[in-house]
Amino acid sequence: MSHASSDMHAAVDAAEAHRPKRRLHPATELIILACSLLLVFGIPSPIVPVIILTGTVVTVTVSPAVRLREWAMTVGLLCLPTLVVLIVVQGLFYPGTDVYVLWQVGPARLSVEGLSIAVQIWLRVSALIGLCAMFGLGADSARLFDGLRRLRLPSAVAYMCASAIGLIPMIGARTRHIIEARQARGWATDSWRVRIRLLPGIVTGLVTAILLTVDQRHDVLESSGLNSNATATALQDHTDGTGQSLLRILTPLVSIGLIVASVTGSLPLPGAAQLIGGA
Amino acid sequence: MTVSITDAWFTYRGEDTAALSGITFDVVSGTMTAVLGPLGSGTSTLCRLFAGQLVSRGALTGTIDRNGTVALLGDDPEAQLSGMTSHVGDESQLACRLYGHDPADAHRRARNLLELLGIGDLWNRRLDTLSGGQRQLVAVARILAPGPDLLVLDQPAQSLDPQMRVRLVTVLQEFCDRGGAVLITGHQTDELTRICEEVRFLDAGRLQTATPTVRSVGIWDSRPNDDATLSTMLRSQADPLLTVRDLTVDRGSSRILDGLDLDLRPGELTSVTGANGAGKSTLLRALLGLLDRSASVTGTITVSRLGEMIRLDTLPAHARSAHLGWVGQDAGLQLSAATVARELLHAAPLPPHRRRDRKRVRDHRLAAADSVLAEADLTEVADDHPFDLDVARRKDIVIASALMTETTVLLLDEPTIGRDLAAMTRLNAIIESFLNSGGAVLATTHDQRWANEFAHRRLRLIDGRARS
Repeated sequence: MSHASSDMHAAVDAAEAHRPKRRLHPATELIILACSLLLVFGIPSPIVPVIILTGTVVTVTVSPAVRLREWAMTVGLLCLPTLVVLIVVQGLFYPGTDVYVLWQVGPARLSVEGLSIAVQIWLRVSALIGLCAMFGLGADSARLFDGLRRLRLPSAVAYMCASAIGLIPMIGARTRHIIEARQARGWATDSWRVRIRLLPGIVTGLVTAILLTVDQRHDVLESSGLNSNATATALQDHTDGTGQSLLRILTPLVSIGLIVASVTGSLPLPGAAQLIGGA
Repeated sequence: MTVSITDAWFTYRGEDTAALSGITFDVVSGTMTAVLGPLGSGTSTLCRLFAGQLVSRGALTGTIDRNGTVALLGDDPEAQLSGMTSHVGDESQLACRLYGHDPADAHRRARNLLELLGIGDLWNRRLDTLSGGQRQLVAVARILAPGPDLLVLDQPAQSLDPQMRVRLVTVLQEFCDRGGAVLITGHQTDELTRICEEVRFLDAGRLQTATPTVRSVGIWDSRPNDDATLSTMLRSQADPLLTVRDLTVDRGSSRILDGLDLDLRPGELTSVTGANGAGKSTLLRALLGLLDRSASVTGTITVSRLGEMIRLDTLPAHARSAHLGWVGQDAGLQLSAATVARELLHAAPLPPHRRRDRKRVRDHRLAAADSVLAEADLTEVADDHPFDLDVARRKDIVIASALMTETTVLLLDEPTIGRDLAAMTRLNAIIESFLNSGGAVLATTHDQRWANEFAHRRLRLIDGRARS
C-alpha cells in the first residue's frame, strides 16, 4: 500500500472514530420511544411529560447524532402554535361552569380547569413531538429498518415504515429545492406572502416528486437485492448485547407497572390542576 | 454465457407501438458490450429488460435466460441513490448487506471499491454533500460490491470527469477479468464505450444489423477532439457583461473557491471544466447567491446593463435573477408545474402592473412563453408533463424558463448530460440564439469535445482557482 493510500486510510479511520460508537441499538431506541409515549399518555400527571422532555433535551444536547439547533427548530415550529391554540381554546374559553376563574375580560376567562387541560395536552403533545423528532432526526431509513427487523417485524412492513421515515428529509430537501428554483427566477421567497402565493405550485410539484421518488427508490433497491431470497444482514453496524436485550424486556414491564400503579393510586402524582394551585 | 435474449418484444402499458422489437442479444461473461442509440430509441428499456424490471410495466414476449445476478444503474442522475442511508459508507455497503454478505465482508468490499474508484476519502461524508459525479460513483460502488454476474450501466459516464472515467474503465476491466460481464448503454460515445469489445446500435427499438457510423444513428461523440482550437473562434472585445473578482467560497475549514476572477463578454460561451467535486456547481450557485448559510462567500460580482454597473454580491438571490439565469445540474429539482407550457408561464413573477392592465400583461406573458417554447423547440411537447420527458428535454425546459426572465447571462450547470446528437444540436441552437442577442453563457461541463468545439473561452477549475 502506498504512503498516500495509508495516509488516507488513517484519515478515514480517524473520521470514523468521531461517529457515535456507544449508541444504543435502534431496536432498543424504538422500545424506549414507545414506552416513553406510553408513560406520557398513560399517567395523568404533567410531571411525566416534563421528566420525559427534560430527558430528551439532555439527550439531544449530549448526543452527536442529533443537532440541537435542528431539533429545537423542529419542536418549536410544531409546539409553539399548538400552545397558542390550546391556551386560546381551552384556557380562555373552557366550556365548564363550575370553574375557578383567575382572570376575565368579556367572554374570555382564564380558568384553572381550562388552563390545566391546556397545559396537560400541550406537555403531552410536546413530549410526543420532542421524542419523535429526536429519533427521526437521529436516524435514517436503514437504521429504522434494522430496528424494526430486530423487533421481528416482517421485512416488507419494516421496509414500508423505513421508506416512510425516509420521505421526511426528502420532502424537506425537495421543498427547499423548489423554493430555490423560484428564487432563481425572481420570486422573493423570503416573504411569507410570496410563499403562500406559490404554495399550490409547490405542493403540486412536491406530490409529483414524492410519487416519482418512491417508485425510483424502489427500483434502485430492487436492483440492489431488496427482494433477493438471501437473509439480509443488518444494513448498518450497531452495538448490541445482553444488557440491551434485558433493557428491551424490562423497559416495557416497568412502564406497564408504573401505569398500573398510577391507575390503582399507588403512585400518587399531582395533576395539572393541583400544580397550578386553584383546585 | 450470462444473459441470452431471443426475439424479445416489449410494449409499455397504454402504448400502441413496441418499445423493443425482435431483440436477440447474448451478453457473454468476461466481455464489455455497448448499445448506443438516440434518445427514445429504447436503450433504457433494454437495460430494464436485462435487469428483469419490465414484467410489471407492459407486455413482454420472447425468451430471456439469465444465468446469475444482474445489477442495474439507471440513467437518471437524480435517482441513483437508495434513499435508505445518509452516509457514503452505508450506501456503498447496502447491496452487499441486502444480499446477505457478512458485515465485515460488505465493509471490505465497499471500502476496496471506493478506493479503486478514487473516492475512498468520502467514506464518512453525508450523501447530500456530494457532487453529481461523486453520487454516481457511489451508486456504481453499491451495485458492484456484491459481485454481480452482469453489470448493466445506463449512461454511466455522464456526470464523470475524464479522470474518473479512466478509473471506472479500470474497475470495469478488472471486473470483466474476474469473469463478470458489462453492458453499457447511452446516447454518447465516450471513454467507456471505446473499450467495449462490441458496440451495437439501437434505432426505434430495433438492433441494427449493419454497422452504421456514430453520427448517422444520431449519437453524440463526446471524445475530445484536439483539432478544435480556440484560435478558430471569434473572440469578443466588448466590455464584460459579468465581472467577478476575488470570489472566495469557504465551507467550514475547506476552501472551495480561492480568489477566482472571471469576465463574461457578450456573444461568448465560456466553459468551466474540472474534476468531480472541484466546485463548478458551487461557482454558479455562488454567483446567484444560492449557497446555504454554512458557506462563506466573499468577492465582488458586477453586471453591466445599459452602461450601468450593478453590484450583485450585495443583492439577494431573487434580485440577482434579473441578470443571471441559472439552470441547475438536476433539472427535475427545478420543475414543479403540470405541463411544460405552465412551467414557463409561471416561471417568473409578472412585472408590477395595475389591475386594469392585468389582461394585457398576461397576454404578453403568453406570447413570450410561446416564443420561448418555439426557440427551445418545445412547442410539440408544450402540453406534456415535464417528468414524462427525457433528461435532456427537462434541461431544455429549465433553460427555457431562464429565458423567460430576459436575463443577459445564462449559468448552465452540466447542460450536455444525457444528450444525443439531436439534443446537442438543439442545445447549441438555443445557446447560439442567446449569444446572438448579446447575451453571455457560462457553462460547466465534463464534455471536453463540446467545450473544445463550441466554447469561446475555456476555464479549468483546479484547487479553487480558474486556469485558462
